[in-house]
Amino acid sequence: MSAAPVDKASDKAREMALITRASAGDRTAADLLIRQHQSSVYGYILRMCGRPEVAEDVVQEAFVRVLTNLDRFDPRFRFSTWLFTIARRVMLNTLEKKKPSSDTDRTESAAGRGEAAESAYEGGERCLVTRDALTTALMGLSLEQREIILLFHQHEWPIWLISEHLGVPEGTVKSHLHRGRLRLREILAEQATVKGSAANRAEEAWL
Amino acid sequence: MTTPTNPINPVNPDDFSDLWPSGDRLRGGERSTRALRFEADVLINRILDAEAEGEVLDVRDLVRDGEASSKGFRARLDATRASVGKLALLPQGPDLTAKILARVEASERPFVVRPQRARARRGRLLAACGALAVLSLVAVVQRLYPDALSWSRPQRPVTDLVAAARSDVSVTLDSIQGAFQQVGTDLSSPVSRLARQATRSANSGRVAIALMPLPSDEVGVSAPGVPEAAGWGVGALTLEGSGVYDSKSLGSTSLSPLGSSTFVASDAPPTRELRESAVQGSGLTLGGIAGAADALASTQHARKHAGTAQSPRPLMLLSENPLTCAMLRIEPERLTDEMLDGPSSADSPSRLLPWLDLSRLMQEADGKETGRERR
Repeated sequence: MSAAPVDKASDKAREMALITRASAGDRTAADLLIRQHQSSVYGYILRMCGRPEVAEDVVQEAFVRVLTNLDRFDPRFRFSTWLFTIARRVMLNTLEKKKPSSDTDRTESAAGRGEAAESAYEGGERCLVTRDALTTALMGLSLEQREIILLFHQHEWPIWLISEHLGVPEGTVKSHLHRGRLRLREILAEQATVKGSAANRAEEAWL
Repeated sequence: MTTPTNPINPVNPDDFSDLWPSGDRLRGGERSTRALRFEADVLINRILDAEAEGEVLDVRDLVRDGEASSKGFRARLDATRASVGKLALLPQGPDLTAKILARVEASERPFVVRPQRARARRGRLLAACGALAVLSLVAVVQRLYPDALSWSRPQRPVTDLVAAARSDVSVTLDSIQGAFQQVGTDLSSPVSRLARQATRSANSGRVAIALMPLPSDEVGVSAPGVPEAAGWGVGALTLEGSGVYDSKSLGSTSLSPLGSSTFVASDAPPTRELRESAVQGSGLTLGGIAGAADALASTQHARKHAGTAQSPRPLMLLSENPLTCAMLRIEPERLTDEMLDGPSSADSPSRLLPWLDLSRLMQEADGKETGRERR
């Protein structure tokens, strides 16, 4: 029963050691630190914004900021929380800068994404299609719902931590979470229905 | 009419008709599909929360309650689980480690703790302030004492020439050739032309070297001198009767070469003592001199700039047999220290041509100029 807390404590100690080494100029430690967290940050940002190129830029920028300010890290908190907070801020700033200036831009951008998803589907990469569908479904949620859903289900953050991270009461977090879950299920169901109808139409045309 | 079913959300709202357990939330005891759905979703959310918190027993109880109340509840729960369960699979992203580290390396002071970074910043600031202070000081000093600081390396053509002559004759020749080319003339030009050329070019501040072949004792030499200032003297020598000389080729019979093929160069300031000892030691007739001047300044130019950094530096090339050597037959082994350093003794006056008594030459030149002006 006590094994889990011990593991967590040792993980934290290991992570702290890595941070200390990286802070002292150890490149290998910095390398390890990046490798440990880049996939989760990338997943978080990608599903938050739905754009791989933005996600890459944001992840890079977030890590650069973190690594050049390691001495500011407060060891009382989790490193990932700190990293996610910085990544979130960078993402919001980036999206603000990259916001389409006109409706035309927005339409073209959306069309581009649609083409990408379609081509991936045609390529038969089922896993990628699933992810695209999921990302598309996530885009149907509000930003708050999306973020809370991701932090809770993708990164398994507890409600209290999400509440601290976003600076909103736990009740609000729960409310967004519950609505977001159901909305996500509905969107995915709608997508499946549309796809099923299209398949049926194609079959009918064939017959 | 039923809602079309699909693999992700295989839920038929009609399946929830018996979901409402107590029936106290709907008036009239009739449960609407919407209300049933709402209640089912509340239960599903509670189950998912409990699962996330690891409350297995609660989950089991809640699922049992849901299943007992509706046969479609389980499918709805599974659909919700499936939709959020997909989130656990992180999307594959590129490995950005190298890019990130490169950017961190390129950024200022990577992986350096804040105090060290602050120290480095302070150090840089101090260095910049120091450099600024030094530059300001230099500017002030240069303004107040222009001669105190000279950025340009003093021209020492003869020194270089001598040094080169010591090591390699061909270098010497090249150097001299180069100097002549700078003046725009060449070694084979008649002497007077060289001298005139040099004099002309001096006014433009270029380095000029005038070589004069060694004349015989009969040929008088005069030099338009410049006033001495700060122990300097500079002179351009011209041969009197140069018309005769000019008309001759390099093998002029009116010259009496001494048979030596050495030359002496010196850029030492012609101090009065040096000149005096030279004149006394040699009993000069002012022949037998090949003279040269670094910036063979006109009298006017030299006067104007006398004592300043722009004052012409003395340069004299003395040759005992310049016609025959013409700087082409220099025998380096004969370039002794004594020759190079100037007349240290009166033993060999004929071989080492001393500095001219420029003040006397100047007077002569001034007299000529005055006469010319009068005319």
